Amino acid sequence: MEQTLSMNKSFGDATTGKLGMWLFLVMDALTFGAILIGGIALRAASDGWPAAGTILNIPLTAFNTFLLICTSFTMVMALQGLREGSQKRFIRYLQFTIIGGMVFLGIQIYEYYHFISGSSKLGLALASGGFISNQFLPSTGMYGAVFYTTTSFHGLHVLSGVIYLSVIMFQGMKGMYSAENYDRVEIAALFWHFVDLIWILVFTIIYLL
Amino acid sequence: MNDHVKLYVTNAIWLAVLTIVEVFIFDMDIPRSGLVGLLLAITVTKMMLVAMVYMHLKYETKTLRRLLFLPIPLALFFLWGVVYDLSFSWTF
Repeated sequence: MEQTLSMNKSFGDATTGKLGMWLFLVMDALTFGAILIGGIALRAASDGWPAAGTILNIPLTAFNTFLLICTSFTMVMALQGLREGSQKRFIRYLQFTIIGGMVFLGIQIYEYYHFISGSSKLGLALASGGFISNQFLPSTGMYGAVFYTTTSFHGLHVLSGVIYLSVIMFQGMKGMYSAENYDRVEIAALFWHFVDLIWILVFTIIYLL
Repeated sequence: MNDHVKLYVTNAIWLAVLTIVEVFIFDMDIPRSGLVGLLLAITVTKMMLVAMVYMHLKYETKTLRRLLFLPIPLALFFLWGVVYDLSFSWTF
Protein backbone atom coordinates (compact mmCIF):
# COMPACT_ATOMS: atom_id res chain seq x y z
CA MET A 1 0.00 0.00 0.00
CA GLU A 2 1.39 3.39 -0.99
CA GLN A 3 1.35 6.61 0.98
CA THR A 4 -1.20 9.14 -0.22
CA LEU A 5 0.28 11.99 -2.25
CA SER A 6 1.57 15.23 -0.83
CA MET A 7 -0.80 17.95 -2.00
CA ASN A 8 0.69 21.42 -2.00
CA LYS A 9 3.89 23.13 -0.79
CA SER A 10 1.81 25.36 1.51
CA PHE A 11 0.87 22.27 3.49
CA GLY A 12 4.41 20.90 3.78
CA ASP A 13 4.56 17.11 3.95
CA ALA A 14 0.87 16.71 4.84
CA THR A 15 -0.75 14.15 2.57
CA THR A 16 -4.20 14.47 1.01
CA GLY A 17 -5.49 11.87 3.47
CA LYS A 18 -4.22 13.87 6.42
CA LEU A 19 -5.68 17.12 5.06
CA GLY A 20 -8.98 15.32 4.53
CA MET A 21 -8.99 14.18 8.16
CA TRP A 22 -8.16 17.70 9.36
CA LEU A 23 -11.05 19.06 7.29
CA PHE A 24 -13.38 16.45 8.82
CA LEU A 25 -12.16 17.33 12.31
CA VAL A 26 -12.83 21.05 11.77
CA MET A 27 -16.39 20.22 10.70
CA ASP A 28 -16.82 17.83 13.63
CA ALA A 29 -15.46 20.50 16.01
CA LEU A 30 -18.08 22.93 14.70
CA THR A 31 -20.79 20.30 15.33
CA PHE A 32 -19.55 19.89 18.91
CA GLY A 33 -19.34 23.68 19.13
CA ALA A 34 -23.00 23.96 18.07
CA ILE A 35 -24.07 21.39 20.69
CA LEU A 36 -22.07 23.11 23.45
CA ILE A 37 -23.21 26.62 22.45
CA GLY A 38 -26.81 25.33 22.35
CA GLY A 39 -26.30 23.87 25.84
CA ILE A 40 -24.88 27.14 27.17
CA ALA A 41 -27.81 29.08 25.65
CA LEU A 42 -30.36 26.67 27.18
CA ARG A 43 -28.62 26.97 30.53
CA ALA A 44 -28.72 30.77 30.35
CA ALA A 45 -32.42 30.68 29.50
CA SER A 46 -33.27 28.08 32.14
CA ASP A 47 -34.68 29.06 35.55
CA GLY A 48 -32.99 26.32 37.53
CA TRP A 49 -29.70 24.60 36.87
CA PRO A 50 -28.13 22.23 39.44
CA ALA A 51 -24.82 23.33 40.93
CA ALA A 52 -21.80 21.49 39.51
CA GLY A 53 -20.96 18.31 41.39
CA THR A 54 -24.38 17.79 43.01
CA ILE A 55 -25.64 15.21 40.49
CA LEU A 56 -22.63 14.33 38.33
CA ASN A 57 -19.73 12.35 39.78
CA ILE A 58 -16.68 14.64 39.42
CA PRO A 59 -13.94 12.32 40.81
CA LEU A 60 -15.04 9.42 38.58
CA THR A 61 -15.18 11.65 35.50
CA ALA A 62 -11.84 13.26 36.37
CA PHE A 63 -10.40 9.73 36.38
CA ASN A 64 -12.05 9.10 33.00
CA THR A 65 -10.47 12.33 31.69
CA PHE A 66 -7.07 11.20 32.97
CA LEU A 67 -7.63 7.82 31.29
CA LEU A 68 -8.40 9.43 27.94
CA ILE A 69 -5.27 11.59 28.24
CA CYS A 70 -3.28 8.39 28.88
CA THR A 71 -4.74 6.84 25.71
CA SER A 72 -3.62 9.89 23.73
CA PHE A 73 -0.12 9.27 25.07
CA THR A 74 -0.21 5.54 24.19
CA MET A 75 -1.54 6.41 20.72
CA VAL A 76 1.31 8.81 19.99
CA MET A 77 3.76 6.21 21.36
CA ALA A 78 2.27 3.57 19.02
CA LEU A 79 2.86 5.89 16.06
CA GLN A 80 6.37 6.70 17.27
CA GLY A 81 7.12 2.97 17.62
CA LEU A 82 6.00 2.37 14.04
CA ARG A 83 8.08 5.30 12.76
CA GLU A 84 11.12 3.77 14.46
CA GLY A 85 10.36 0.41 12.85
CA SER A 86 9.20 -1.41 15.98
CA GLN A 87 6.07 -3.42 15.10
CA LYS A 88 5.98 -4.80 18.63
CA ARG A 89 5.75 -1.34 20.26
CA PHE A 90 3.26 -0.21 17.63
CA ILE A 91 0.85 -3.09 18.32
CA ARG A 92 1.34 -3.07 22.10
CA TYR A 93 0.67 0.66 22.51
CA LEU A 94 -2.26 0.46 20.11
CA GLN A 95 -3.73 -2.32 22.27
CA PHE A 96 -3.34 -0.11 25.37
CA THR A 97 -5.14 2.70 23.53
CA ILE A 98 -8.05 0.47 22.49
CA ILE A 99 -8.40 -1.01 26.00
CA GLY A 100 -8.28 2.52 27.49
CA GLY A 101 -11.05 3.62 25.12
CA MET A 102 -13.16 0.61 26.09
CA VAL A 103 -12.67 1.29 29.82
CA PHE A 104 -13.70 4.93 29.21
CA LEU A 105 -16.89 3.71 27.52
CA GLY A 106 -17.47 1.17 30.34
CA ILE A 107 -17.29 3.95 32.95
CA GLN A 108 -19.67 6.10 30.90
CA ILE A 109 -22.13 3.19 30.64
CA TYR A 110 -21.81 2.64 34.41
CA GLU A 111 -22.57 6.35 34.95
CA TYR A 112 -25.64 6.18 32.68
CA TYR A 113 -26.83 2.96 34.38
CA HIS A 114 -26.49 4.63 37.79
CA PHE A 115 -28.53 7.62 36.59
CA ILE A 116 -31.21 5.66 34.74
CA SER A 117 -31.74 2.96 37.40
CA GLY A 118 -32.03 5.73 40.02
CA SER A 119 -31.69 5.74 43.81
CA SER A 120 -32.93 7.67 46.83
CA LYS A 121 -29.47 9.29 47.16
CA LEU A 122 -29.69 10.45 43.53
CA GLY A 123 -33.25 11.64 44.25
CA LEU A 124 -31.93 13.89 47.03
CA ALA A 125 -29.24 15.30 44.73
CA LEU A 126 -31.85 15.93 42.02
CA ALA A 127 -34.16 17.61 44.55
CA SER A 128 -31.41 20.14 45.35
CA GLY A 129 -31.48 21.03 41.66
CA GLY A 130 -35.27 21.39 41.65
CA PHE A 131 -36.14 18.01 40.08
CA ILE A 132 -38.59 15.65 41.76
CA SER A 133 -37.46 12.18 40.69
CA ASN A 134 -35.16 9.36 41.77
CA GLN A 135 -33.92 8.95 38.18
CA PHE A 136 -31.80 11.25 36.06
CA LEU A 137 -33.04 10.81 32.50
CA PRO A 138 -32.70 12.70 29.19
CA SER A 139 -36.19 14.03 29.95
CA THR A 140 -35.08 15.47 33.32
CA GLY A 141 -35.43 19.08 32.26
CA MET A 142 -33.04 20.97 30.03
CA TYR A 143 -30.17 19.83 32.24
CA GLY A 144 -30.78 16.15 31.42
CA ALA A 145 -31.22 16.91 27.71
CA VAL A 146 -27.97 18.88 27.52
CA PHE A 147 -26.00 16.32 29.57
CA TYR A 148 -27.13 13.24 27.61
CA THR A 149 -26.92 14.90 24.17
CA THR A 150 -23.35 16.12 24.72
CA THR A 151 -21.91 13.05 26.49
CA SER A 152 -23.61 10.48 24.25
CA PHE A 153 -22.48 12.31 21.10
CA HIS A 154 -18.94 12.22 22.44
CA GLY A 155 -19.37 8.59 23.53
CA LEU A 156 -20.30 7.66 19.95
CA HIS A 157 -17.04 9.26 18.84
CA VAL A 158 -15.10 7.14 21.36
CA LEU A 159 -16.90 4.02 20.13
CA SER A 160 -16.09 4.95 16.50
CA GLY A 161 -12.48 5.53 17.53
CA VAL A 162 -12.22 2.13 19.24
CA ILE A 163 -13.60 0.40 16.11
CA TYR A 164 -11.35 2.49 13.82
CA LEU A 165 -8.22 1.71 15.87
CA SER A 166 -9.14 -2.00 16.08
CA VAL A 167 -9.23 -2.14 12.27
CA ILE A 168 -5.85 -0.38 12.13
CA MET A 169 -4.46 -2.84 14.70
CA PHE A 170 -5.60 -5.93 12.76
CA GLN A 171 -4.16 -4.44 9.57
CA GLY A 172 -0.94 -3.73 11.48
CA MET A 173 -0.81 -7.34 12.71
CA LYS A 174 -0.94 -8.42 9.07
CA GLY A 175 2.09 -6.22 8.40
CA MET A 176 0.32 -3.53 6.40
CA TYR A 177 2.21 -0.70 8.11
CA SER A 178 5.90 0.05 8.45
CA ALA A 179 8.39 2.85 9.15
CA GLU A 180 7.94 3.95 5.52
CA ASN A 181 4.18 3.51 5.42
CA TYR A 182 2.35 4.96 8.42
CA ASP A 183 0.09 7.59 6.87
CA ARG A 184 -3.17 5.78 7.69
CA VAL A 185 -2.05 5.19 11.27
CA GLU A 186 -1.25 8.89 11.65
CA ILE A 187 -4.69 9.81 10.26
CA ALA A 188 -6.41 7.43 12.72
CA ALA A 189 -4.29 8.92 15.53
CA LEU A 190 -5.51 12.42 14.60
CA PHE A 191 -9.10 11.28 15.09
CA TRP A 192 -8.30 9.69 18.45
CA HIS A 193 -6.50 12.78 19.76
CA PHE A 194 -9.42 14.91 18.62
CA VAL A 195 -11.79 12.75 20.71
CA ASP A 196 -9.52 13.42 23.71
CA LEU A 197 -9.31 17.14 22.92
CA ILE A 198 -13.09 17.51 22.76
CA TRP A 199 -13.56 15.57 26.02
CA ILE A 200 -11.29 18.08 27.80
CA LEU A 201 -13.78 20.80 26.80
CA VAL A 202 -16.88 18.68 27.56
CA PHE A 203 -15.52 17.81 31.02
CA THR A 204 -15.10 21.49 31.92
CA ILE A 205 -18.35 22.81 30.46
CA ILE A 206 -20.71 19.98 31.40
CA TYR A 207 -19.17 18.68 34.63
CA LEU A 208 -17.18 21.49 36.27
CA LEU A 209 -19.05 24.69 35.35
CA MET B 1 14.64 7.87 25.34
CA ASN B 2 14.75 10.14 22.25
CA ASP B 3 13.61 13.77 22.12
CA HIS B 4 10.15 12.97 20.71
CA VAL B 5 9.39 10.44 23.44
CA LYS B 6 10.66 12.86 26.12
CA LEU B 7 8.30 15.52 24.77
CA TYR B 8 5.34 13.09 24.75
CA VAL B 9 6.02 11.99 28.33
CA THR B 10 6.42 15.60 29.55
CA ASN B 11 3.19 16.56 27.77
CA ALA B 12 1.29 13.65 29.39
CA ILE B 13 2.56 14.71 32.83
CA TRP B 14 1.49 18.33 32.23
CA LEU B 15 -1.97 17.23 31.07
CA ALA B 16 -2.40 15.01 34.15
CA VAL B 17 -1.22 17.78 36.49
CA LEU B 18 -3.55 20.33 34.87
CA THR B 19 -6.50 17.90 35.25
CA ILE B 20 -5.71 17.53 38.97
CA VAL B 21 -5.41 21.34 39.28
CA GLU B 22 -8.81 21.70 37.58
CA VAL B 23 -10.50 19.43 40.14
CA PHE B 24 -8.62 21.21 42.96
CA ILE B 25 -9.82 24.64 41.72
CA PHE B 26 -13.36 23.26 41.39
CA ASP B 27 -13.31 22.41 45.13
CA MET B 28 -11.94 25.81 46.15
CA ASP B 29 -14.22 28.51 47.48
CA ILE B 30 -13.61 31.26 44.90
CA PRO B 31 -16.01 33.69 43.13
CA ARG B 32 -17.93 32.23 40.19
CA SER B 33 -16.38 34.54 37.57
CA GLY B 34 -12.88 33.64 38.78
CA LEU B 35 -13.71 29.95 38.74
CA VAL B 36 -15.06 30.11 35.17
CA GLY B 37 -12.05 32.12 33.97
CA LEU B 38 -9.50 29.82 35.59
CA LEU B 39 -11.14 26.59 34.43
CA LEU B 40 -11.55 27.85 30.85
CA ALA B 41 -7.92 29.01 30.78
CA ILE B 42 -6.71 25.58 31.93
CA THR B 43 -9.03 23.85 29.44
CA VAL B 44 -7.70 25.92 26.51
CA THR B 45 -4.12 25.20 27.64
CA LYS B 46 -4.82 21.45 27.75
CA MET B 47 -6.49 21.52 24.34
CA MET B 48 -3.52 23.39 22.88
CA LEU B 49 -1.09 20.86 24.39
CA VAL B 50 -2.98 17.97 22.78
CA ALA B 51 -3.29 19.73 19.42
CA MET B 52 0.29 21.05 19.21
CA VAL B 53 2.16 18.04 20.58
CA TYR B 54 0.07 14.88 20.13
CA MET B 55 -1.61 15.98 16.90
CA HIS B 56 1.79 17.27 15.70
CA LEU B 57 0.37 20.67 14.80
CA LYS B 58 3.62 22.33 15.90
CA TYR B 59 5.38 20.49 13.06
CA GLU B 60 2.81 21.52 10.42
CA THR B 61 3.08 24.59 8.18
CA LYS B 62 1.71 28.00 9.16
CA THR B 63 -0.87 27.78 6.36
CA LEU B 64 -2.41 24.59 7.76
CA ARG B 65 -2.38 25.94 11.33
CA ARG B 66 -4.10 29.16 10.20
CA LEU B 67 -6.76 27.21 8.32
CA LEU B 68 -7.50 25.09 11.39
CA PHE B 69 -7.65 28.01 13.85
CA LEU B 70 -9.79 30.15 11.52
CA PRO B 71 -13.16 28.62 12.56
CA ILE B 72 -12.56 29.33 16.28
CA PRO B 73 -13.36 33.10 16.11
CA LEU B 74 -16.37 32.17 13.96
CA ALA B 75 -17.65 29.77 16.66
CA LEU B 76 -17.09 32.44 19.34
CA PHE B 77 -19.03 34.93 17.20
CA PHE B 78 -21.94 32.45 16.99
CA LEU B 79 -21.78 31.96 20.78
CA TRP B 80 -21.92 35.73 21.27
CA GLY B 81 -24.84 35.91 18.81
CA VAL B 82 -26.85 33.21 20.61
CA VAL B 83 -26.20 34.62 24.09
CA TYR B 84 -26.97 38.17 22.87
CA ASP B 85 -30.26 36.95 21.41
CA LEU B 86 -31.35 35.49 24.77
CA SER B 87 -32.02 38.92 26.21
CA PHE B 88 -34.69 39.63 23.58
CA SER B 89 -38.31 39.03 24.39
CA TRP B 90 -40.27 38.76 21.15
CA THR B 91 -43.73 40.29 21.13
CA PHE B 92 -46.28 40.07 18.33
